[in-house]
Amino acid sequence: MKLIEGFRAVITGGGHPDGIGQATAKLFVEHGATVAVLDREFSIGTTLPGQTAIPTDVGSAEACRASIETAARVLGGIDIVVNNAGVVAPTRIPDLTAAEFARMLEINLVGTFNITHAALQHLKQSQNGPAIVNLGSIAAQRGGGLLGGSHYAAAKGGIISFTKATARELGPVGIRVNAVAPGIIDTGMTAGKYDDDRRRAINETIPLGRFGTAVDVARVILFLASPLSGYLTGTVIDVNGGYHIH
Amino acid sequence: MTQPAVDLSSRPYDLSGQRILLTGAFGGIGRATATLLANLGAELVLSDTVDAPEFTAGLNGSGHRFVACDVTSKKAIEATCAAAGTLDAAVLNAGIFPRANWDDEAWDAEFDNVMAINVKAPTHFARCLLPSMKARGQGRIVLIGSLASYTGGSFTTSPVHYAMTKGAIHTLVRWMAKRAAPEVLVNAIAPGTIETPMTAGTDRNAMKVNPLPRLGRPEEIAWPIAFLCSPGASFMCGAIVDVNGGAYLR
Repeated sequence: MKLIEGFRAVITGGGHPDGIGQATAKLFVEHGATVAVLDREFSIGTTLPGQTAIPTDVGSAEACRASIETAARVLGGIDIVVNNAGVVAPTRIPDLTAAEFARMLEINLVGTFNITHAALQHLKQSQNGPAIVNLGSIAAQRGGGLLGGSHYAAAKGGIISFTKATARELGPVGIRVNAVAPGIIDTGMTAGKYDDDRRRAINETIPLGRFGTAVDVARVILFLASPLSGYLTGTVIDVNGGYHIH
Repeated sequence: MTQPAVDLSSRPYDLSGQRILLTGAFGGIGRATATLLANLGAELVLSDTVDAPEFTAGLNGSGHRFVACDVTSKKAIEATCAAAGTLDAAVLNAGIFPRANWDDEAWDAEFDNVMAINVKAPTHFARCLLPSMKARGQGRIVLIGSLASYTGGSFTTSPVHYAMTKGAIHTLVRWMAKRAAPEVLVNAIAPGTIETPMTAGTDRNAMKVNPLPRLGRPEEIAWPIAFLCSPGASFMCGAIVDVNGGAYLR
């Protein structure tokens, strides 16, 4: 029997081929799960083995409710939720508007709440040690300063606090909630954002000497989604190559 | 001992062909870790003060060896490392939990002893193993910290010298991780209260306020340890993974 054989997983933000969400979806399918991928767009196409594509704007509570019901029906229930959908922007404080700040929180933080809230009843019925994995960020820990502005850092910090609070609240009903805090990862989100000189300069400050890959992060998400992490809840696991040791 | 009824011997957590040193191999967490690492395909060098041949003989796979080591002796540690040969990973798990209150006369001697076993010994092991791992271009070192390093200990009776040693381990991980990289990944697990002989007498009712309202099981520490030894932890460096059932959210 494979690691998460028969588990049913919802992953948000997996519609792009080079992102953490799609790398996680592939890894989950490899390890025996069936997966519903929720995203606004599917540049990767919608006919991937083991995956069901469900167009969703996670910023909309109504859309999340509808998509989670579709996912639960197609998969036959939900055991795992990976709240991966997110956007980033480097806007500095003088140039930020309240609307941009709110939109950043809406997609990253409120989106994480919307999906968690909608999936809760299904997770409670799971017999497979249900788990939620959220995507924090090094930006929350060190205060942005890379690709993310203050609104991004605040949204990711909110996700980490939300992770702890939901872990505390849902632990007694058997749902574990954890987060990963990726460092600089090569994905569609970061593509073209670092020129060669900047990349070289940053690599010199990362103990592992390189940017992370989407798969580096997906492997940790799989660990947190699987029974292997049965006594972990409310944790934030750093996946940053040593860039931020704290 | 309960192991997950799943096949772990597939990427990314497969340890086939890896030789791993495990210290404190016959304690509660040690035995669960040895069992799991062997199930994942590793060849083990098991170190402890006294041999447990029946346990070793019962492990999956072959090639497992016992090397006796009094970890209070630097010479013994160096001899153990030499006897272990080429290693892919080292799980420096040996540790003790002394109980004296600092008002007790016994505390002074206990302090020296727990510092020697919980701090100095894993530091000596790392000093001994790191150069060859770095020269070989790969390796993993996993240390065992504790929830006590954050809280000072879960109970009012928690001994201060134990918590101090685990705080030192967390510092060691952070210091060493940068210097061991990029060839060698150094990370740690920080367990909460785990059901082992070390924590015998723990008040179970005290666990009921935790998000996961129970003691942890030794295999629940073994899984994260194996994860940190595996390709699954490919981009983790200097991380301390809390495994405490939510007892302390950092």
